[in-house]
Amino acid sequence: MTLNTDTCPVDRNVINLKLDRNPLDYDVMIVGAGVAGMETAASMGDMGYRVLLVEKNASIGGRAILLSKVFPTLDCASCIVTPKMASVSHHPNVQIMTYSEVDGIVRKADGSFAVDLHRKAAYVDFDACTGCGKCEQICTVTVPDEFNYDLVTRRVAHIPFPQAVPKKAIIDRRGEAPCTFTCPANVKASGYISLVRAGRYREAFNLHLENAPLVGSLARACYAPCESDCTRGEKEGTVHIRGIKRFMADRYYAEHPEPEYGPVENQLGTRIAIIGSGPAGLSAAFYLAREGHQVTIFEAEKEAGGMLRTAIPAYRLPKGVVDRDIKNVTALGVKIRTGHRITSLPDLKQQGFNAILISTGAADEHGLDIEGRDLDGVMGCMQFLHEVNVGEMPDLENKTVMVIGGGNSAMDPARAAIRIGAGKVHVIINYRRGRKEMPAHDWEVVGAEEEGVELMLMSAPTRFIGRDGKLVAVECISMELGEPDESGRRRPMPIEGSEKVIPIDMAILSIGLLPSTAHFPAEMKNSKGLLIADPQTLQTPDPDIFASGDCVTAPTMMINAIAQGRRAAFYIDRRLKGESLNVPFDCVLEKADKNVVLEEADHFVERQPVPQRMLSLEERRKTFECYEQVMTEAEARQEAQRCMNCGECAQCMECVSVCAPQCIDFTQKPISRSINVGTVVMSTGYGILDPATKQLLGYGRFSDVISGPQMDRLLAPTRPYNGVLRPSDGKEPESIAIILCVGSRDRTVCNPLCCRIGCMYSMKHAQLAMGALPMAEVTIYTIDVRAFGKGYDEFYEQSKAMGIQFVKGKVARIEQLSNGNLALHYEDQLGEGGKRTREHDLVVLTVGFLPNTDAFSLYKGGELAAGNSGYVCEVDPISEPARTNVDGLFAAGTAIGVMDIPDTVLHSGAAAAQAAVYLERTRGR
Amino acid sequence: MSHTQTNRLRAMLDIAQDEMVMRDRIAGILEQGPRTIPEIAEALGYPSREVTVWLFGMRRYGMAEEVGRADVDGYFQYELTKTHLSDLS
Ligand SMILES: Cc1cc2nc3c(=O)[nH]c(=O)nc-3n(C[C@H](O)[C@H](O)[C@H](O)COP(=O)(O)OP(=O)(O)OC[C@H]3O[C@@H](n4cnc5c(N)ncnc54)[C@H](O)[C@@H]3O)c2cc1C
Ligand code: SF4
Ligand code: SF4
Repeated sequence: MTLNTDTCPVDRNVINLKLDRNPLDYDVMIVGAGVAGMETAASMGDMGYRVLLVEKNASIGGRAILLSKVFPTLDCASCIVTPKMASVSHHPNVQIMTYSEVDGIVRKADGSFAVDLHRKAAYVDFDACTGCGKCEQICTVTVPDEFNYDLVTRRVAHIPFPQAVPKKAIIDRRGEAPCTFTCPANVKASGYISLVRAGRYREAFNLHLENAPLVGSLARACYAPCESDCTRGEKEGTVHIRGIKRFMADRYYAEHPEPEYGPVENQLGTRIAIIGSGPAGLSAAFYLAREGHQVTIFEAEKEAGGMLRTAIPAYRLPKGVVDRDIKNVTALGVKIRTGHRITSLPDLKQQGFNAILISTGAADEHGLDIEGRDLDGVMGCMQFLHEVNVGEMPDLENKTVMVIGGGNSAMDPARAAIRIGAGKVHVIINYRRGRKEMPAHDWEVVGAEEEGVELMLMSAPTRFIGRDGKLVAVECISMELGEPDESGRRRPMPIEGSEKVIPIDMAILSIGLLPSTAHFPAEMKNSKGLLIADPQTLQTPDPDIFASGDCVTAPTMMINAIAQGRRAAFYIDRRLKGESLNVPFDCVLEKADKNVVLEEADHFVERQPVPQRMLSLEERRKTFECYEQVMTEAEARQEAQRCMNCGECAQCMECVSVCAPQCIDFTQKPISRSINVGTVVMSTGYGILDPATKQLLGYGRFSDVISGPQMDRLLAPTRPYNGVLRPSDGKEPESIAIILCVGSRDRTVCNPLCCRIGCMYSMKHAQLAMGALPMAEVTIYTIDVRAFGKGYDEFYEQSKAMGIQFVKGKVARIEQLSNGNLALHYEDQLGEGGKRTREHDLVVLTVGFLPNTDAFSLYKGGELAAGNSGYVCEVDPISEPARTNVDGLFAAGTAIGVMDIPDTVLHSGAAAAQAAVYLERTRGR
Repeated sequence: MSHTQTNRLRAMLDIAQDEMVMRDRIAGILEQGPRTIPEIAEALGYPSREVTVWLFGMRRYGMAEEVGRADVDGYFQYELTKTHLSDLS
């Protein structure tokens, strides 16, 4: 795709890292596109050299483009820097790579340099992006705006600042949020949480549909693996993700009793048969029908839904919710033929289906090979739950029921039995290992115990005892843990002579389920009866037949089956369209590093989870009504606020929906390249000292103590507020203090250097503040004023004449007064002397600067020498400025030490000349 | 005087993450008429520093704007923008 130069004329030379024109032929690579980088690039381009300008940020312009005005002329910084940005981006000899980083530079024997570099993934196709900013407007994740030095927020989808070149959006992504990463179906939990937080519930529901159509069922009965990996769990407790989903699904279904869509417009002629209407089959049907295929589901039961219908008791999953979920699928035109058991695949093929998906689940029961297993009153858990859910409720009043097994599927019959017997039933769960070993979720076991279920641990049934063919008792034996088995778990061993007989009326066996694959040929199954399917494509050895869900994986959980259904649909669709199956399924990033997230979450306020409201215990014991109550809107949003946006972008996909040119691309990856260049100029700029290092001055403790760069933003035309206002409450300050040399000329922070520009930029701040706030007083606290450059002393005199007060004295500490103002304690070195205190309502810390050490790590061909101050060392600043100890590698601008813009421009000219001389020398001209 | 205050301010990232919820609550307050930041803070029961962040986020993305000049105490009033109001109706 070529760039549309009509819509974005300044971007003509900004390459989008296809680098497909011969990339090996740049005469010079310049690293860092601030004033120095742009100036050097333009100069060398003018000399006819082919220049590659690499910038790690998304825009060129460096720090200077963020300034208000420049001293001493008080020209608008944008008016100076923007034309430079435009001219360099238009220059026929200059190619710019923004959002790109150099990974390593090595000098070669011929004097040229080998460079490895990469363009970071912006998740936006820069060729197509028009810079309209709609993605930023709609984005739901808000973060501090570094381009405004954290005074305001921006969105994770953003255009860095209004004058950015190129004016393209980028999306911050640190990785996949752990919740989303852990979800087997890759449901964008972080995304719908973010949408719920933003009050966009319908969008949240629709986002969920993209990965799993059975939203209501998942909201009620998903085991929520996302929650077990939630980063907030390392703090006050995991985000109740499923609870948020429940709110979103219930609300959506209340507002939309019917789906908002019908069959897709583009209907295809291809017919697909799906065997089984459980979560896997329904989910596959949904995604296949969305592609336009004609889908028929064959279901043996009288009603669709698989385990959702027949196994999960209504107190966890009401059947009305299952019905509404199924409408999501049938609204697309999917036909479900219930009461139709498929017993022959060839017969089905003969009906003319182009593909078949087997999703028959795993509902066959493991028997228990002990005496009395055939007695009336001994039944499998699936049989029991089937009766409870879709059959006739057994009469259990005043009966004793024993459930054998310790998994989640033992908890369901146990808790259901309590409800059927309306509290007049004695339910015992018999498990041969200990409480800690029980595979059931802890909350299930706790819930069961609360409701009155008794646990009988370290015990196993040895025989069922009957009278007249009817169960009356069970004999159990106590167990102890012996030697570890092959899985490493200690094997339970019976303790001889510990048998005891317990009278019971019903025994429910919950000791495991087998795949429901009896009707399928042996060659399609493995030794456990599971269907054999390619793990990537879920295609069986018969290329027209696919398989998904528990019949492939063995019994797991609803969300795994849904994930498999969507995966199978993806590959069936490709097969039917004649496309290769050798492509990856979902494109998922690495999981975001929780330690980084938690580090950033230092100084977050404590947020306890919103308590889950439940039915009273008494109600729980006698009704099949859902015991977990739905969150209110306020609770759901409050719980969503606890989410820490681990992945940065939450993938709410709102940007995708508004981007007219469709340039958002979450599959984008970094692009790495190796190139050769004749010479290198490092113009990587400088760093800014963290003002919080000077603890006694209160930055980070008092909102109205701000830094010099923040003050520059407050004064800039593109400022974050509507004027120069106090961050604490938006008030126009009346008395501003500016403290010079904060962290410069200061050995306590190991920075003995004069920053060289602080005095001047502070006077600029003072003059501009007086212009913006005519009634305000401005006081500059200084050790001494250094006004050495052209026009600087005049600027100082002008400042004094304007009424700016200069106090010679070092400020020792700042405190906050009860009225919110700030008390500065300083030593008066010129007036009457001694310790003094003065009150101000805004304090600006003119912070020191630091070397940007990037340059040193980029050069891998030896050691790039640093000067005493830590900046890149110029080996001979007087006769050969910009030359470093590496022949052919130069440094321009503040990479060698902080300087103002005029000096930066001059120094860059010197760097360009030196680099040109080097090129001519090495090329023997 | 609170010399002993050594606690750091609440992290800006934490405040930022509340913006999507708080802006709706602030919009609810501004629907009743223009307000200064301290007035909004009082109505919300949140520190005015945090309201400053949320309000200027709303201003940046076209939901709120200042009304005229600052009052004698130096505070501006803010109101919902016309476009935001028409989005609501
Ligand atoms: C608050 C404040 C006020 C100021 N006011 C004035 C003023 O009024 N007048 C004045 O003359 N000067 C002023 N200055 C100084 C001015 O900002 C600098 O002189 C100027 O920005 C220096 O330009 P530079 O290109 O050397 O560095 P920078 O502007 O810092 O540019 C360096 C560029 O390199 C990029 N970069 C860094 N590392 C890498 C890497 N590894 N790979 C790729 N790219 C990289 C950076 O992202 C950046 O874009 C002020 C500075 C501050 C902080
Ligand atoms: S919405 Fe699309 S075109 Fe507009 S800025 Fe965002 S990515 Fe670019
Ligand atoms: S904190 Fe939020 S994004 Fe991170 S894992 Fe938890 S829910 Fe997901």
